[in-house]
Amino acid sequence: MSMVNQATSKRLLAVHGWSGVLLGLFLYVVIITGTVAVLSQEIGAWSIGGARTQAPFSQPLDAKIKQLAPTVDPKYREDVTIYPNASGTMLVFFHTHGVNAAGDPDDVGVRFLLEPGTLDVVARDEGFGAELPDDRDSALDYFISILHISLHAPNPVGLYLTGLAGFVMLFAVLSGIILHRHLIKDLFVAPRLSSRLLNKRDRHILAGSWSLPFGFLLAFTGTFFSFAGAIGLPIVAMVAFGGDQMKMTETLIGAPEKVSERPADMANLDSMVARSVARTGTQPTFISIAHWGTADAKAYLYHLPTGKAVEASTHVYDMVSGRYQGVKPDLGTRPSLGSSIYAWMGPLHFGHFAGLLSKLIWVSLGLAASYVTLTGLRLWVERRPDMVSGKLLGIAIPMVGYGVPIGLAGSALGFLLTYRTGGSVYGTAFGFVASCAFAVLLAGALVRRGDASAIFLAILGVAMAVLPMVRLATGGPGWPSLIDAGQAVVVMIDLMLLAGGAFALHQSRRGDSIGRQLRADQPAGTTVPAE
Amino acid sequence: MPARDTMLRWIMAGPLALVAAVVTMASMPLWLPVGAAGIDNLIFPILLFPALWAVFFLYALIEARPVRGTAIITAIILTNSALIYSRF
Repeated sequence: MSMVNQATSKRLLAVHGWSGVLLGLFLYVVIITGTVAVLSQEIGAWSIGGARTQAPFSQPLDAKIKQLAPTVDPKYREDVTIYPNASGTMLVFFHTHGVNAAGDPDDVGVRFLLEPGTLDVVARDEGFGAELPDDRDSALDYFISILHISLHAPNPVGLYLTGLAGFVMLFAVLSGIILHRHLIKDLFVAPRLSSRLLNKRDRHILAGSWSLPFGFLLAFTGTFFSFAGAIGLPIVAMVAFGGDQMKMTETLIGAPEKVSERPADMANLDSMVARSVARTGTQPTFISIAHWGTADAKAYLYHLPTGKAVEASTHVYDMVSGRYQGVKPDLGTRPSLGSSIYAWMGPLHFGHFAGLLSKLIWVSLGLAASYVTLTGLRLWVERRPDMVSGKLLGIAIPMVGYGVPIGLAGSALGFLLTYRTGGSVYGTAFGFVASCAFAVLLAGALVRRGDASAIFLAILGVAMAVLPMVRLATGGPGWPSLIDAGQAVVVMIDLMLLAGGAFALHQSRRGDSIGRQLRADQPAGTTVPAE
Repeated sequence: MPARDTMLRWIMAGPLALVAAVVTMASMPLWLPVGAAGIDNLIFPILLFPALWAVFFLYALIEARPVRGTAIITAIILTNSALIYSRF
């Protein structure tokens, strides 16, 4: 039974439908890019033919960092961040904190890029973080991640937009729960074959019912990430600390300890990494060293969730004695319920709490949520074949629904074709924009045809299937050498692209036969509703 | 008066729901328990903001009498605003 009376149910259904119509395609863009971004780390490794080292932090970093530290201005030794990019190149950033030319708080210092294996310096750049050259190795995975986070719009506008999409999804899920008359029954509904519209409605309800908990999780955590920094933090800081965000940050992270200026020799970082790897069973993904070269220096080793833990962990070492000082909570100076729940938000949104397995589950559920969004829109269109808004949406659904994945494939193609020339940052963005523009022009060219889904699907299928071949043709390693080098993840992405491409081509042939049948059944000049 | 009800419902679901969610989040640090690390009263309002917005938005749609709903949401906004004002 529905939880509300008929009038309320009608009102909720109207808002559910109209909010979906007005913002559904925008929501779809955020969901589908997020689904791909779950695998951004793996896509990064794929794009450059596999990382050149599997354990970047197990290289002899200690000696190299001790060699580099005296070459930078002492003020830049306040903080050192160390992390690998997609190829395994280590980025070591000696920095302090300042305000950049745009007036935003930013890190400023010297960044070294260290060749994987040899740790030779391949680049040395100095300046504010926002002004440093983009990392060409991670251009593709970075582009996809930022597309999902802020749609490449300037902050905070981009965050507000994706936050709004999250809120629309949250409302769609909650109103979906309230509107479901038979929620349990709908989980096991068999799509009816008596009518095409009923069959589609049943499939939407089936996928939507199973997606409800996941949709809620994604929408809630996603809205939190978009609004927490842009709205929540400043407002709460204003009330609790009279607007002093610095004081709030000190409360949340811990007041800065008194730092001794007394110089001190640094303990062996490699030993700390080895002990942290033994303790957690995983490589760290990021290291931060505060107050390098002083008696109060500390190293923070960040590990993704391990074992049964859902949340990531930060392990602290004294940089003078090398002693382990325990796990630092994400927020606050001691463990608390608030810190624990906050620590869960990332893993639950990104799906990386159980490694590749949980990521693949998140990708599947993300695809289901994308399917629910698009089928919901199509149902709305098919019920209103004569309305102008229905006709416009009928054109826009395949254009955006397949145009964005085609754009993502185009960005990968742009990356692969320009990586060897050093222009991958520009090439990735150009590939995406050009492919999206192509999708828009194609939709315009096919406007008289009615349902253009089959053609879009065929193009998407070809684009996906061709990517592994382009990777090989542009000098990427073959499967045997990748497996020998322990880079099976690149093979996995190749196989996913090939399987996805084959599926899209198969569906396009099937869709086209339906389209032909429908066109044959209708009088000339009648528009065939979107599939 | 369906036209007035519709307009009230638009106001309730739009600006009022957003303002109510923001001021409720803003006042929460003043009355929530601080927890073991002294930060729970700061974290939970930020964590709960999306849920607060969704609850006020849904309430605006579910409430059978828009005048009563507008009065309730306005009262929530005023109460929380008074709490915040008392802090300064």
